[in-house]
Amino acid sequence: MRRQLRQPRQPRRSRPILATRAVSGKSSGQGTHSDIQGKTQPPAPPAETDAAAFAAEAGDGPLSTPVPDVLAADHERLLERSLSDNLHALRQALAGSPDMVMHTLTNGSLDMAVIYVESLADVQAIHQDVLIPLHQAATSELRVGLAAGLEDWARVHVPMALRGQVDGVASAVAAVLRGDALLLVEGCSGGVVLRAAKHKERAIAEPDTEALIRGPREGFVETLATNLSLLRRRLPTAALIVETHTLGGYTRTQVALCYLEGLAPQPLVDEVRQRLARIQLDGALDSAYLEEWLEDHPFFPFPQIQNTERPDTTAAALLEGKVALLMEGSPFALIGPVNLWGALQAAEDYYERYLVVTLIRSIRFLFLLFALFLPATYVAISTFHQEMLPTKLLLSVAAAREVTPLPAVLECLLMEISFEALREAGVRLPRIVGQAISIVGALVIGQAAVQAGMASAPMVIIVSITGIASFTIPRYNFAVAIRMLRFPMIILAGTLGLFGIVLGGLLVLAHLCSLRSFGQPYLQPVTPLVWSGLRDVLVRAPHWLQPVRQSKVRRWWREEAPRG
Amino acid sequence: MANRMSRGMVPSGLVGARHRLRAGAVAVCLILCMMCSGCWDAHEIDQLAIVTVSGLDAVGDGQGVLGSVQIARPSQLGTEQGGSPTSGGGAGQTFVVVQGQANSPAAALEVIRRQVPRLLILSHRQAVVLGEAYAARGVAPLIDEMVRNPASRLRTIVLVAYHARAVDLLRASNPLERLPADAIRGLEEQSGLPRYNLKDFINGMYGPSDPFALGVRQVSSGGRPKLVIDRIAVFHKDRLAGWLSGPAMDGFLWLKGRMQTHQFTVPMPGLSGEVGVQVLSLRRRLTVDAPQGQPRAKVQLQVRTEVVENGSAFNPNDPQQMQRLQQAVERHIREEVRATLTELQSLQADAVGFGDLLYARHPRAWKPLQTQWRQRFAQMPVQLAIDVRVDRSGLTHVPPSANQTGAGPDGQAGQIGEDGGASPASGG
Amino acid sequence: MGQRGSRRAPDQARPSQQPNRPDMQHRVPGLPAKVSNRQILTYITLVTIAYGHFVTIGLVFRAAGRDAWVATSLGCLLGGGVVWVQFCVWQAARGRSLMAACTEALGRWLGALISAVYGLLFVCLAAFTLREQALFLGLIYPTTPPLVFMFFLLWGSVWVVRSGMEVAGRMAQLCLPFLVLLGLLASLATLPDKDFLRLLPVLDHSSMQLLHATLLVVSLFCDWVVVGALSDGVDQPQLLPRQAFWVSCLLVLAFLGPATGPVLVFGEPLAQSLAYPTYSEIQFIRLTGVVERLDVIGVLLWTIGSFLRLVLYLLAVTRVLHHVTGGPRSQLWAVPAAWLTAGCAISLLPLSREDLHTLLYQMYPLCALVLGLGLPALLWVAIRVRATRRPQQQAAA
Repeated sequence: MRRQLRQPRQPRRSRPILATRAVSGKSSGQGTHSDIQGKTQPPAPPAETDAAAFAAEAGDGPLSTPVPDVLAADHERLLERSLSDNLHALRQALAGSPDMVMHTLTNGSLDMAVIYVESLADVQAIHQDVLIPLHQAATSELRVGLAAGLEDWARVHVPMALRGQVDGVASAVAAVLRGDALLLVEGCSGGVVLRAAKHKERAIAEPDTEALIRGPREGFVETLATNLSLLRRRLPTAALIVETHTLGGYTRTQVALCYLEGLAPQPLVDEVRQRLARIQLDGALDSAYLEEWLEDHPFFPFPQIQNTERPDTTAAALLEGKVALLMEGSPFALIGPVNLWGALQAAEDYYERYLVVTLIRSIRFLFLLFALFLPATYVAISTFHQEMLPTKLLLSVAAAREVTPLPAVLECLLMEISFEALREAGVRLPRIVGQAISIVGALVIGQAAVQAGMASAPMVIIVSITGIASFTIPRYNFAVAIRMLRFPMIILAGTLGLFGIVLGGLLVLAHLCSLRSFGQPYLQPVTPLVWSGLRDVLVRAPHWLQPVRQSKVRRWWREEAPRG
Repeated sequence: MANRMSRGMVPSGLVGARHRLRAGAVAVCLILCMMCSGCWDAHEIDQLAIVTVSGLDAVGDGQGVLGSVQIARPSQLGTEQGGSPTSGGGAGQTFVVVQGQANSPAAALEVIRRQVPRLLILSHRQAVVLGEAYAARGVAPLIDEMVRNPASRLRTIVLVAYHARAVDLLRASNPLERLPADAIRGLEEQSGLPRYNLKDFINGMYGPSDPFALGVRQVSSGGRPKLVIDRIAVFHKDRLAGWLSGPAMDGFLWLKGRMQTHQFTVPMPGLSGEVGVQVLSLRRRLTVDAPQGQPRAKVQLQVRTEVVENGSAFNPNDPQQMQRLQQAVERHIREEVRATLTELQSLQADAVGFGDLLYARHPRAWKPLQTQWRQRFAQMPVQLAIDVRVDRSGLTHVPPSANQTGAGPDGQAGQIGEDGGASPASGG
Repeated sequence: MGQRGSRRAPDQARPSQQPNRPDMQHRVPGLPAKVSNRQILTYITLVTIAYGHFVTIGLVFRAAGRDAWVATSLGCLLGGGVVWVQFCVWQAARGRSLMAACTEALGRWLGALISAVYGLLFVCLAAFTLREQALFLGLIYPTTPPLVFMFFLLWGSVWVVRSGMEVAGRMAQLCLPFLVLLGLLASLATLPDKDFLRLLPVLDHSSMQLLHATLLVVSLFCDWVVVGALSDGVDQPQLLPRQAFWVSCLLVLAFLGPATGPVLVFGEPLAQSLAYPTYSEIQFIRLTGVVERLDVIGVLLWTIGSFLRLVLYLLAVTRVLHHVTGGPRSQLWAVPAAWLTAGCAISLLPLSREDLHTLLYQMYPLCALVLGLGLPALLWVAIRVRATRRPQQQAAA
């Protein structure tokens, strides 16, 4: 797999935080290099502050041109010519890592050392491709070219992929901690990093959160490289740009910003870069950490960034001109900008025939409204507007409610909360137990509550329909937002009846209208209106009617106030 | 420093959101306050007394009225926990009737309200039953109250109790339906009665013509009282003027175009026995005009019927017999309509709506007639043009009895047209 | 509905603005809110339809009975003319807004005074809307104090006003198709109860009654003067007069249903005596076995309509206040505008629905005609005179 590195195009200007700087200095030193490629790289732009270096964290620069870091310049020890001094320095630096191996070997008069972390590196390969060749080569041959430079020398004598050369102790330590092997030679300053990292990774499996009946079944895993390969195989084009950034003071997590050049609007890419540069974290363990830093409106429930486990969904988003972020250690890609209608679209919508999909989408939309308004409407009608029910239905409801002690609002709130609890229990418990618990719990509690007269049967029906409705929303985080909003709606309905619901609905609407995702209006193709965009909102027009090679986001992109 | 920190640290949209948060907090507090202070118009369903039918009777000679409401008892109506519906009268009465006496309909309602521990809601009232005496006295106060009350619905059916008090009718239950209200509504919808509810009644009251109402009475069959609607109460504006029943009522339904599914039998002229026919479609056209200030009306009815029962020697394959049947049906309808018109004209009540029609079509001619419309209506000549077609006579040819009485030896012969039992059309 | 010409929008050059970066949008002071022509016309259409169906049609019935549809159609066409004149006046002013026209025609101080008069009109109309909605909700919630509804409506609309004009525009754009669909469904559902004979005889009312009814409808279009206060925030103001004219002509279609419905269903006497005939019509719908009465649609339609009308007037008031005082950002005036409206609405509290409707029936059409047609026409004349005089003065100098 080949990765293409791109330099971020704008300098980063945010100021550092003292605490994080201290952390970064202490933990793993400066100048960790995320990715190296054999070819020459454009030099990193001169970062103006140490924070810039912190944020960019050498991920931007190749080994041959170490990041000019004020801190590093002050404190980093360079690797000396003396092997024993170097080993001493490394031993000191890695004192807390008992699984570090320092393998010294002597071929004739040439002393060499290979340093790696046993638990991270491919010991077998090091043995095979480094130790044995170096050991068995004739000393005279081995000395050839040593004076010219360590990296070129290693290219000749070590049959293992090179990452490049390191000059400082700190960068050497960082390389070792990433799983690579460091080769030091007596009498040569600096060391060579050999690509020896190997870790166990999960097999590519079908994503559990976004299952489908027809369509690709691959899902992202926790390894960035694998994920990028999944993405690249779908988009084998030079237009796919992957920029890596390193985040997290301790974790040094790599984040890949992916977009298709020419399709993604440049302001969007700049905006995402700018927001990435603003992130200051000790550790980034999942892409969710980034999401909260990147979103436009952090206080409101609606998600403004999509997450997906599916490479095909990610590729489709890139083709629409969106931007995707992949992160080491997270199987979830982040995609932005998004809109409300996207929350009602599942990956399968594009793999099924369009008529079916259109029907299913309208059902989803209907049930979205149910999930938000159904319990509230029931409460409003049964406590304020009884005249709206047909007489027979009213009498049945009245008969059912004759014995229940609680007011409808409280009953509804209690039932909804218990439902949420059941759902939560079902998710958290081990899968097999969880399902049993949720089904049995619902049945037993529901049935028993009705029979005991604690809850009325219509309420149980309403709550179950609402529950089903909230599960028809393809995106989990969006469904959660709807679930959250349901409770204020119930309270409003209990206090002001239908008027309360209408008012609440208007406020939610106003909120949605003012929401933005990466600066783009949240309700976009519908309002502000983009006619061509309506082909993929509630109706999915057939693929041959969808515009070809025109990025949605680019066409909709608005720098200023919207028209439409 | 704090400022710098916040600028550096905050995620994208955070700064501007603060005032919104504050506003949101204020709103939440207010809603909570409202919840604590109680909600003015919230009523739990189990605290309601759902009125399904209300009645009004005259008491004494003066203004006194006796109001009565029928309140559904949901506890007797619902399904049991197991899911089997309780039968209508099994566990107990499905409704209660509460009555109150006062000087006006609204006051009577207030008296009733005091007797019921629950909140009385009128918005599910299906029907209003008026006692005959009250209807004769004038229903304007009640109608006014119903229009003003936003809870009462304009779809309510207006019924007049035939020779009875409304209260007594309210107490009657129908064995098929769980609630008498359902029975009334069912009768109104199923039995081809004119769709005539409160708003039509009001229109009749304030328009050029007169309103009418359905007449309901109680019959006992097998010891259980039940309700039947088999009369039309005719009003002079808001006062009951008289009743239409029997053929006159059927004629009224013809005139109202509500005989779409009616079944009736006509004697077959010249043959013994009767033929039953069912109306398949009815097209009705009323025209009124007033040349030289003399109103005159024309009623055109186009009726398509089918033979549903042949109790005579009638041979449907015989065109002549068929024609005779058509004439018989036509005569039947004509007699009924004529009876209605005679009755209405003698009552001087324009319940069919000729006045409305005259006003709508010829407003200029209407103006001079307006003041004395009752008298002019009573003398108005009405021309009837009734066109009957009997379709779908069926493939069964001749009833076996016909073989013995007259027609050919078998159906084939009859079809050829021996003109077997033919006799000149009788009657006029 | 009929926003022709707005398709051309993308080609038009637009004034450069500060980049609307998401993290900047709350921080940048004075970021001008722009809406498209389509949005503003959708907005005013929604407001006109909702308020017209809800209040004006009832008054029209009172004046012209079963001939309401004649008066309505006539009124919509005349209203198109009124609207066209209004927008032409704003076009004549350089700032392309009501306040700019006042200043241009009357000078700074007098212009500010007339702008303030308009501001007062908008406050009053907002208060009327609030009071009217509270009264309407009083039918459904007999014991809840009207202040509760007024408070919540006002609070919500302040929130929207603070979010900006484009948010309000988007809301309208999202609501209108939905409400039109509901309205169509409602008028379809009443079809079985409609008796077209009830429309006869046509033109049985006196011409004065018909004129009064027409005026009532025209006054509805005079209210479009409120768009004048916002029209400088529109994408392409120069296209507005023509577009607005066609939209108001198209509104005939939207008004035909409610202008005939109640008469067709209830007959003239009853339709005239009902407080909210169209609402009663919706209430009357019965889809056997499914829905007993569709009050929901009524509450939905009219609460959304009143809410957005309130927002529209509040927006206009903030713009006027902003213009008169010259503050940094018009949205900041949302709360003061709301206080003004609340004060006005509370002073209207003692008025019953009958008083209010009588006021709207008798006084308001004339008032609207003066402020919605007369004054703009005068402004136009004044602007023209000044424009012709200025070169002369310059020549003289």
